[in-house]
Amino acid sequence: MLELTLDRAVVAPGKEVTGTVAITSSGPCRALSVALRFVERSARLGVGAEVLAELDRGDLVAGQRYRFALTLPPEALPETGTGNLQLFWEVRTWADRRLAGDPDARAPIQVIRLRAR
Amino acid sequence: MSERSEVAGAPLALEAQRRRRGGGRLLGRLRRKMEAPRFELHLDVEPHEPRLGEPIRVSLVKPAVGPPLGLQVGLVGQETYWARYEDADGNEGEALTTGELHADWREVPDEAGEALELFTVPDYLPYSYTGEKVAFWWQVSSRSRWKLDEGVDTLAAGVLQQEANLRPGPVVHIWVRP
Repeated sequence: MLELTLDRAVVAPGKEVTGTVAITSSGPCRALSVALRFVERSARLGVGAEVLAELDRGDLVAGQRYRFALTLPPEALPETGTGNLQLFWEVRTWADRRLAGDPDARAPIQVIRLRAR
Repeated sequence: MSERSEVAGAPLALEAQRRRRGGGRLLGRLRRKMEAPRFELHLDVEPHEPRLGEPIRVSLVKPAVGPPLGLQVGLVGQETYWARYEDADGNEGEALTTGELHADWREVPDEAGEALELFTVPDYLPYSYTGEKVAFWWQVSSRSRWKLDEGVDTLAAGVLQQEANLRPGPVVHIWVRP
């Protein structure tokens, strides 16, 4: 139902993450959103930081495409983790549907590790 | 790799010994030892907010009177996360769990005075993080051996050896940056 494409998967803190959300099939929808978020993944999922944008309101129409640009926070942490838990950034887009599951699509991004000199 | 006591049966064995030998006083002495305040030690860490891979200088000043015996200082990293488990009845669930990321313990000479140690947080390990559901945290810790009084019998020594032969000392939390 949703297809997510990033222009670049490697981004520096403070820079924009840009891409396209394409609608692959029509359907009821209250709002179409996209978010850039820092994910904490273990047996439970947590979200550390989030930058949100609403792309549209109303039903999805197949063939429609939406461009987006979200700014990665300047203090964004790079990904890290162990065998038990991972921290990483991802872009998620989802269609908010009434009384139904929200179809979504995700794409990880890699944050460049900046070292102060 | 979480730290766990490895002598789950010890309390029962100890209770049986106590009944046989009237060792209530012994248990009391053991308990007082376990609950004793941490030993005296001045622990200084520089920098407090190191980057991954950056050296950490640790200075220890032991008291002139009664310096702790068998002193160790270490750089310790731990993680807190949600883990899936399955109990004996096959029920599945999730539990908040703490595990060890890293432990680098060094022996420190017994003499009173100042000692220096250099540690490094390996750059392939996680930085400090406290999030919504998980955490990575780092600290410089100290610990020493229990000093057994004369007359504490081999049972007590054996239990202490297995269960708690190292008592915790002062700790300095550090914040490791990426």
